[in-house]
Amino acid sequence: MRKVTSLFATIALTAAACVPKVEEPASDAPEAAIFPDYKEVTVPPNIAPLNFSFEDIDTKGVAVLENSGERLTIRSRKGEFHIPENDWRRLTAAGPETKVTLAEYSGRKLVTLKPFHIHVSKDTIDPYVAYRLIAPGYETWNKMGLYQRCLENFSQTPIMTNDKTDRNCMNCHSFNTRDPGTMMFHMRAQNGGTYVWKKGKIEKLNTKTPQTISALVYPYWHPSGDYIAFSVNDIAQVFHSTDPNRIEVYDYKSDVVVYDVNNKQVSTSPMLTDTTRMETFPSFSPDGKTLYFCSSPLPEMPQGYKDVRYSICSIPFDPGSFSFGDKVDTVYNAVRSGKDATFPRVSPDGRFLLFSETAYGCFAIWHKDSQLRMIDLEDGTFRDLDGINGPDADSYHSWSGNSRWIIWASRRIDGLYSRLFIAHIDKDGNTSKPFLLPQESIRHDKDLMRSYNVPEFISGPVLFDQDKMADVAKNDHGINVTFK
Amino acid sequence: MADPLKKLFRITALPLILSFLMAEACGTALPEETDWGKIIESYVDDDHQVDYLKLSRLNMALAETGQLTDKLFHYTQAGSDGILVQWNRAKEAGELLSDTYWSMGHIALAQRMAFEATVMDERDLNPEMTRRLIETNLIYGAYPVAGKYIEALGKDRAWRRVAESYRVFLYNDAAVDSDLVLGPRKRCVPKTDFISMVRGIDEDLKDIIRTNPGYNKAIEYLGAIYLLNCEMDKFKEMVDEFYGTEALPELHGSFAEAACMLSEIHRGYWKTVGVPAETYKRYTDFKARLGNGLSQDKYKDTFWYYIMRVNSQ
Repeated sequence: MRKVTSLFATIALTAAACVPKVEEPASDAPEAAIFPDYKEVTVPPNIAPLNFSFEDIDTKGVAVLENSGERLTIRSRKGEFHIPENDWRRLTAAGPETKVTLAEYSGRKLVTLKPFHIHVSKDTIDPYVAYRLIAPGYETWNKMGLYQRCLENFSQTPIMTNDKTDRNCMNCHSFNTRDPGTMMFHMRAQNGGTYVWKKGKIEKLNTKTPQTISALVYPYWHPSGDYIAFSVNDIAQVFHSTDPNRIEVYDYKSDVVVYDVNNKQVSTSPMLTDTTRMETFPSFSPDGKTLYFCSSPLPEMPQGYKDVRYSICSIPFDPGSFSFGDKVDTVYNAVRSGKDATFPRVSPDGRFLLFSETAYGCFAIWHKDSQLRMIDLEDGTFRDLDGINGPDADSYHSWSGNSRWIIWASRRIDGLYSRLFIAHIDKDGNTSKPFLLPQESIRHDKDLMRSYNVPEFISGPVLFDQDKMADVAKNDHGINVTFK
Repeated sequence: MADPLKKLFRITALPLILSFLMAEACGTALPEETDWGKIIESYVDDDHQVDYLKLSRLNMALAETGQLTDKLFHYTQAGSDGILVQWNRAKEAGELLSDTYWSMGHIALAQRMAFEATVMDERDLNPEMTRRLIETNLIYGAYPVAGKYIEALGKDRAWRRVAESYRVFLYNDAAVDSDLVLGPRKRCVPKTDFISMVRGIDEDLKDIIRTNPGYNKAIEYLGAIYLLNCEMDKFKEMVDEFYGTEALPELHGSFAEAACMLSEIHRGYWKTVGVPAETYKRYTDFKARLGNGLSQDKYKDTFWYYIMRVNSQ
């Protein structure tokens, strides 16, 4: 046994000796150009390794990662630096800052580049994120599914894929306060319906009522788990001839309703169904006493699509009596800003309201100017979040359970295919440089021909049986939702 | 190398190396460009049954070879669906529509339909439509995503050369502008944005013609669509707006025939739009034979015969 150990030690020493030595960088050492840009980002301690490559994939080199006495040296492999998971854990646990020194080959000589740092926050992140993977398309769909990714490693598993349900469309997945055991999503076309997964049971709902504009659309769970707010919308999608935004999605009309999960009823308020306005994108405050929604005057459509400006409003909600208050407050005034705000999401600690801001319209994902902004609900001030917004469509966003991380979809890499970015936000609303969701291979984000859509943090994996869900979808007639 | 090892190498590695080399060799040839002449030559006209996919491909070939106006009615036509097939969300229809819009100079819809076709394709890659996505994104200056599609197309050995040939256009507006395929189509992109197809394909085409009057195919398609739908008032509006301009310097073929017919309501119209006297004479002969119940077979290749047939159905 001692001989075997000695042999392994010799092999290890020989291998280590084969890794070229990285010299200290010169004072004028060039910046490292890497993809993804992980330079000076802040990451949670439980995130998967931040594998990266030189921007020029053909460049070869060596990386030295150091943190509080811990050290790891790795060579690039096919242009990529793969950090072994155990070594990554050891490094991130060692201290608040990992220094990365890269050296690239210039001929046979190693040139050391200017080091950078990966800052390790004490704030952990929820272990999973759920999303839809879709072609960022126009009208048709084919292969589509809801997936979940463990953020602590690279494991992605399907929640529900449409190969089990006649290649139908599925969308608008939503969880009650990040609980993987309480979720809903819609299927459209074949096997159409809203599917609610709660306490181990699957329910199929037929949600169009004579009193509402459409079947239920954009959802948000009440923290009690007893209600889900929805919009009901008459939606259209058209195609620009010249505009770089390519696609315009708009409503001809829309309202907001709340669905009572236990009694299978929807209800609303005249203030959520004003026929001169469009109300949409509802969400509840973390205490469940306030319902936020977006509201715009209804211009002549479709020609007035550029005049649509959503304000963010709020109305009291009483879950005990399933009733609404009689006064609407305006949290974000589109008339004053001249802009448009959608997808209000309040941090679980109740301090900040995060939203997407664009010049006009309702579908931020197709607006290149879309940026994330935030309102401090303590004093009503706005935060521009310049440090996290990119040059192209930053939109749909979700808060971590501890309110310290946000994840959102951004088109900043190629202008079309949304990828997931994560940023730290401290208790005062200060942001750190965001980082691209790490992948095992750097090629993943460049090669994938699908977009990440509607990322939602969850506290664990969704465990329902896909086959059982498909069986319900195909064979259950569904429960007819009524209007209260 | 020991003999058994050599044998093993011959059995296993050699075929692999040979197949790799052959694939590489195939990759050196460009996939064949569309042979429009062959499409026209091989088209079998059947006046009893219309295959819209084939008819649309034929009409596209006529447009691409500058013959759409002159030879449109040399073949049995069946309305404007024979130019723009119905969009039934199938891959084949998406591919054909993308090709047609590309031929028309309608870049937004060429891109849209290319995307729809790639989504509906069961293969990992639809090379023809990925190429279209490269071209349309280059035209729009959407270089990062054009680069992504170039990477994707380059993974198909047979298309690698084609993919690589587009790299020169990345982040190079001048190269796109001066390219003989991309440049003219880039000049078709309207300066002012409009929502495609909301006003109808004809209004979209008019915007393209106004934007790039030198791109003749757009007006050939527009006139053909009006004639195939027997929309004479709209055809006249088109002629009134564009006749005598770079877009429509003269009327010939089916356009001239339609102008003769318009003269029934608008006296002497054919003269005002420069229709040759012999064309008008042929029209009066056609009318005379029609009045006398004589065979019209020698006019089968005219717009007049088409409209008579449509009216009799």
